[in-house]
Amino acid sequence: MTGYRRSVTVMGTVATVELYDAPDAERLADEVFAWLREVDRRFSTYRAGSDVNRLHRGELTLAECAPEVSEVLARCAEFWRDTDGYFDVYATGRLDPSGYVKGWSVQVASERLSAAGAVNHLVDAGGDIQTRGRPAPDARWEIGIRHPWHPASVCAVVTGTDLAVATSGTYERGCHVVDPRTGRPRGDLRSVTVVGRDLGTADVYATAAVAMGPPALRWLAGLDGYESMVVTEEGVSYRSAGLPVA
Amino acid sequence: MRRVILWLVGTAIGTTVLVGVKAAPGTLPFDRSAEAPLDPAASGTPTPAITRTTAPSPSAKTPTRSRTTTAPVTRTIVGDAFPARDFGDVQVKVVLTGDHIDDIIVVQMSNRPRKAPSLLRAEALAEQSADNLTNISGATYTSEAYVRSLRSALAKA
Amino acid sequence: MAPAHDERWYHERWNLEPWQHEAWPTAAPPAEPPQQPRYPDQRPGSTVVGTPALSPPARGRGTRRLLVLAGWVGLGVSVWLWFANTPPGSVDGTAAMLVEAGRITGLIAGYVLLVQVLLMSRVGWLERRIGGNELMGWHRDLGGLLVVMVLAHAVLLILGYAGYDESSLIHETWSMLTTYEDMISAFVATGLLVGIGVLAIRAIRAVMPYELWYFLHLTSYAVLLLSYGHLFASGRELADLGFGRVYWLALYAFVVANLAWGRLLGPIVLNLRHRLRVAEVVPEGQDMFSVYIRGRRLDRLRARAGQYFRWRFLTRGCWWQAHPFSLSAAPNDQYLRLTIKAVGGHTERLRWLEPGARVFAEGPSGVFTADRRTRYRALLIAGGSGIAPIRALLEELPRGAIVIYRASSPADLIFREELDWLATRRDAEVYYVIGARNDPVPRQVMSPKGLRGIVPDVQRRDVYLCGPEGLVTSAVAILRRLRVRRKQIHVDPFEF
Repeated sequence: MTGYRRSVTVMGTVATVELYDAPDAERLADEVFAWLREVDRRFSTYRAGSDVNRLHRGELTLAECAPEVSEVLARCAEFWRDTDGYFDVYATGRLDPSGYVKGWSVQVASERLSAAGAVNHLVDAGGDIQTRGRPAPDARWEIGIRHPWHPASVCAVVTGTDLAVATSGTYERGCHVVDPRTGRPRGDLRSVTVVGRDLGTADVYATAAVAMGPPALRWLAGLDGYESMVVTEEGVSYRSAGLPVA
Repeated sequence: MRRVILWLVGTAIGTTVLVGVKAAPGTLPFDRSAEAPLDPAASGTPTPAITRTTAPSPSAKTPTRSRTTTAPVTRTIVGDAFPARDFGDVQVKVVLTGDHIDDIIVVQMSNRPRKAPSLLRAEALAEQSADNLTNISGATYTSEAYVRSLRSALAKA
Repeated sequence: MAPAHDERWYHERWNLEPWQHEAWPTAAPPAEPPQQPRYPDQRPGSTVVGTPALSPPARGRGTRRLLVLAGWVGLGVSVWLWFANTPPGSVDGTAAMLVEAGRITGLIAGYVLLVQVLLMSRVGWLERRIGGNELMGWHRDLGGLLVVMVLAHAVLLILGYAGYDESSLIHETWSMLTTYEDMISAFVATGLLVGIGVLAIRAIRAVMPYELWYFLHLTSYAVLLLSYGHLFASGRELADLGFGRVYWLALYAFVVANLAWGRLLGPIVLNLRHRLRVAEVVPEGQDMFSVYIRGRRLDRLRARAGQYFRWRFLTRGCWWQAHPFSLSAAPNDQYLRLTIKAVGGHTERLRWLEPGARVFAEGPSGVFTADRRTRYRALLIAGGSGIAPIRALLEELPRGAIVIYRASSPADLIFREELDWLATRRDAEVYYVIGARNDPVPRQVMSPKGLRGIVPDVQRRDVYLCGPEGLVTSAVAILRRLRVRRKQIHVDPFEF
């Protein structure tokens, strides 16, 4: 199998595409990155002219937004219900769907790659990873989970063919996830990784779990179709029974 | 008393000079020689990490690379080590084919555990090396030192 | 027993009324014949006071320069740690500049703190080479620098990191306190240091009882302890095992070792070895008295004339204070002698020390010694209780010294017999200049012309001064007018 791998910086982080046995890998990678950049343009809270920011300032109504934007926001509203209010795009006081957008954009990219015939691929944007197929005929994708204290190590490795792995944590950007009920950042869970079907959903669940704090352990255990691994600030690690560790 | 004032003034001047010596080109008000090739994030401007919409390329001042019809060569360029926020250095190396980034590999990162908590319960936090893993969930490459090392590698490309 | 010069000579030179030398002790004859100086028998082989075979060789200030240089080199290495650890061109932007400046000031502050503790460690090689007075002067000045450096370090880092994180200063400070190890103790240490700095302001120190001030100042040890953690937990240059960490640990070890030796082990060893006890207390004049101290192996004490010890007399009421008093006789193998002026409660109590009382001494300290001379001959000027070290120095300085002893009245003169005896034995001249400052004779003598009259070659002499501040200041002014170089003027200050 011939492999192709490329990384760019986008969305304030690094995005990587790995393709195996894909027709016209270069062009496909270009399209993926172009899609990610478009997502960034529309959804970034750091860009003054993004749709999200203009919406927040009232310069745009929901009806005037691009269809993806309203679709994303609609999904976010559903997640708000599903997570009992812990995933809240208004948690920081301003509209911020980035807890879902990153995972969702990678998921869409992956779907497009599959549709285009690249069935063995990996797309990674800032640590949210979606894989499909296999990297080699009898191998499986191996995704490490960054050790919450030792930056050059991993604390677990998950493996599989179709994996969506999303991690939310406090060790790279500090306590940036806000608990919507108190309005203050939470730090008792240092790292939450959710593995499941949809990367967008996994991303939301991971973010919501960090916002929840210790009660998240029970909540994560009850999720259907999603496995998880949690490391608390005291250094205790928990993982669900079905987590596909290597 | 006079001696103290002398020492204070001397220290202030000395510190300013030292910091100035290590300043990046373009930071000092009188030095506009080079531009940052990538994000202006690290220049302390209020909005962080605004990415350009073009693929990262060396700074505009250096001659642009023309695409040749022959297969582009794969190169590995090591960026400078930059001090991470707390301690230790972060250094990345970039594998480039042409001017596409194939891979970003962390060369060094201070592995000193910061307040690694003492573990009282049986379920200890495992740790293994990340050497033979290329994809890591949770590594967002958003930290200051990553970005700067990456920029320095691309600037050398 | 008359002064070395005929009083007529005075009379002719100054054209004044004959001096009221009738008011001298001859007017109030001593009850007993003038006593022989209290010197031991002139046993062959013993160290006979008054005629040492050789004056201690003039040593000069070479080692002092070396020590100062070492201090600067240490500072340079500390800052170099930052320099070597910062990649060139890595300081991009205001936030980075602030953080790096914060790191530099942190290194300087840490180094200065260690130097401060070392200066006050009372360790022999500093006390004997630089002397308590100059050490205290450096300590005061460096203290001001230290407080500013520590505050600059904290403020610059908070500002810089707040810039990086785009958070408010309060939020950044809070995040620092809660995220990093040992930051709370570092903040507490900073607060303590600022407090100590404020208390050290002269105006504030003056209104506090000294003991209270001293105990509060001792919290500087807590500053050293509390700040230690964050250096190695968060200090970039010290974090990983490498030159920086080893160097800094070595500095700490060096300072702590000196502290332990100078403040604790050294004095204990000294006192165990010599076992000093009061032999007797002898009145000397109106309010001055001498304490003779005996002990074992005093020949091994390594003290010099002109030096002082910090004396703690272990009797009820006196044991909890230690005060510096100079030796008033050159150290010898028989006894040590201090001469004290009773000025307050503690010194009054010392007058009643019983023979056999134990003494705990720390020292010797001071550079007011014969080996600091830069010329062959010396001029010694003493006033009040300043005669003590001068009297001791007269034994160790080479022949041909001139002594000017200022006193308000003849009753204030002490050691007259000894001084006269030494004068004949050592070819010295002793002038007793009696009267208030504005009386005709003292005014004449303590003037450039007058001084040059007595000491024509004053420019070629080392001048040793010890006395009340007024006398010392005016004498120094006169000497400077006479173009005597600063290097030749040695002052033993009373208070330090």
